[in-house]
Amino acid sequence: MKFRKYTYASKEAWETQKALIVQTDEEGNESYNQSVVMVVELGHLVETPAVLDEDGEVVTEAVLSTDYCVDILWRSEPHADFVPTWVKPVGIHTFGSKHAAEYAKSYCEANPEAEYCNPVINDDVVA
Amino acid sequence: MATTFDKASLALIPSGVKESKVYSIKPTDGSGDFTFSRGTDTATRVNSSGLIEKERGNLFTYSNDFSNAAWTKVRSSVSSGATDPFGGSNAWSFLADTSADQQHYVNATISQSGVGTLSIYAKANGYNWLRLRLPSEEAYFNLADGETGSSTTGISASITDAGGGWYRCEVAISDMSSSTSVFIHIAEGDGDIIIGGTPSGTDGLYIYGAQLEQGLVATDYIETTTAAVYEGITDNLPRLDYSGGASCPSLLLEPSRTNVVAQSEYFDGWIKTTNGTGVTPVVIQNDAISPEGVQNASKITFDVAGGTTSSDWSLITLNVSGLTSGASYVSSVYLKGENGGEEVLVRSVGGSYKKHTLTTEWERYDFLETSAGTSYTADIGIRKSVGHTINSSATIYAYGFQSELGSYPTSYIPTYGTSASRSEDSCSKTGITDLIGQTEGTLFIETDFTNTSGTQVLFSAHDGAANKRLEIWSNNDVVNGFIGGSVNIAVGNTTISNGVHKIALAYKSGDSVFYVDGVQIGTSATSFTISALTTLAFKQYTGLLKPTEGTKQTLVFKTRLTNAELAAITTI
Repeated sequence: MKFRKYTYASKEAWETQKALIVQTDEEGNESYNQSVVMVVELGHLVETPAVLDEDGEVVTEAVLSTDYCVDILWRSEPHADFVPTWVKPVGIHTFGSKHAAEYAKSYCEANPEAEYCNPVINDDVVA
Repeated sequence: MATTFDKASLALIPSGVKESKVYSIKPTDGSGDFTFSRGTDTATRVNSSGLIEKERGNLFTYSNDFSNAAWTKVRSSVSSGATDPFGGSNAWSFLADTSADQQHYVNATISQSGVGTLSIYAKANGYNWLRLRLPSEEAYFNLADGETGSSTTGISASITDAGGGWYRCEVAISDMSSSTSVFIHIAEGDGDIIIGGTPSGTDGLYIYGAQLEQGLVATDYIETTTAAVYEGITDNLPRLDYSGGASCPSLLLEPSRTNVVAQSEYFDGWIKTTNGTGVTPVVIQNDAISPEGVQNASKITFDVAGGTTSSDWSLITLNVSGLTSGASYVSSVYLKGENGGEEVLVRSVGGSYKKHTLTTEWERYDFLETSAGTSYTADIGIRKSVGHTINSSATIYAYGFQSELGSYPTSYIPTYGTSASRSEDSCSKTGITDLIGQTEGTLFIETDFTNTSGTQVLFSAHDGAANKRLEIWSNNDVVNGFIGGSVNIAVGNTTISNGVHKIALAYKSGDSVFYVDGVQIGTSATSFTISALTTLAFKQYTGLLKPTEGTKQTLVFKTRLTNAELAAITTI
């Protein structure tokens, strides 16, 4: 299985791409096809959290990303038309530690120069 | 004389499972074993000891081969063959070399994130101190007297006597993503990793069994070589669940869910907030045995010191985002009191406080609410005059906070710094035409039913087509017997409560009947033909409408049982 993260300009853009992995049965019900284990639509991520008052009421609305984010756990290789966004492992959502580890490994293969993938190992005391 | 059970062509009484398979006890040649899939390793169950069981793993490679290149030896050497904590000879002599005034250690790189625990067995061998370090955290362990030394403000460090001078030393940290390497040091003293002067070259420590795992505590050691090894409730392991103290397990089948609360166990990572007379909550992480059976429950003391207004509070709080506005969410948390009778407020998705009076036993409290927006603030604690009369102080224990989209709580999904998803369970058996009656027969299930406020197919026989299917299905709390053949026949339906029920659909052209809990619910004299039923499944023929249930037994007969037999096998 492969855990990948995706970013779309809008929910509509995601809906268009989603069609590539959706099947429709004879009763008109839509479901994901066998290429995916699970899809989680994270939606527009919070960039600045909402400010709530002491009663839990929103004082200042959260600032959300304009991007529409989706996590997909593929049953085997990801669909070739889906271009992943390489968020530093493991972002805000996971399908579990095993899949997170696979994601982190793939992240470093795709981003060998990333700071995350090039830890500074030294003898100093705690950073 | 043959019993009704003897007549069954297939019997699935959940007792034996392995990865991707649920064994049927009949037929015995394996031809009736079901295929199972889930695909995510975030699922949990209640095991036969009544404890929550997760997947667990050792994320290190070569966990007990310190000579491997996975472990970098820095001014140190390792040699195998030392006596280990369990009487074998699998421990390692880990020696400082003769470099003067230096650090001496081994280290390994990791690619992980979230709450994690590093552990290793160690024994003094010339030096008495061990230091475990991840870049952001460190802890020292005195192997001479079995005490922890100094540590940074990570989650916790602990040392456990393993006998024979061995100790298991562990340190938990809040976020492994900031720790791309782990270090195991020979230390000269508490807080002192520079070994002064010139080491002899023959002094160091004995070490055995390094383990890095997700979560707040070290679990039983798992040996690894070329890759991480996982045990427990792995990706596609069917869950035999003993919830509610059941003596016999159910095959737990659940839909996909996401726990949107990023820290479900690490309450010391929640924000401690006070106002007015409130006293800052005191959280002691890993203070008590949790419903998991390990020491990872939090002890939390709240106190508003006699305050009386809604401006007086002592709370722990966590911002939760990623919700669907206007949708139903069910939140749940395991709580118990120190002495019993403690009163505590919990605020979740809906924004209002719920008061719970705790006992000294763990209980999972759940509450269904509608989200007002895309985020909310989860609170646990005491606040005066917010719709409840409540005591001014309480010492409680907490574990496993969960908020999930849906109208009913499902099994616990642990989180360690991010939200986490569990995918749906899927269970079916194809290609068994010879085990399913093609002109007559009976489908029977004993199931722990949950009203999902939706439609679910509890059990079906089909061939992937609308006109070749038999279904025991439900809509809200109404269970139905249905035949989809040359004609569609609704054999009967009745309302059932959440809990265990025995349901049978017997089919034969012109003589079909539906029984629930020993009662004949409906009959049908309609003639029909149906053939080529090839598949048994806990879902609709389309692959959709999977149920939420605990399947206690499933029987398939190639004959329409008599009404007396149906009444007998469905009687609770």
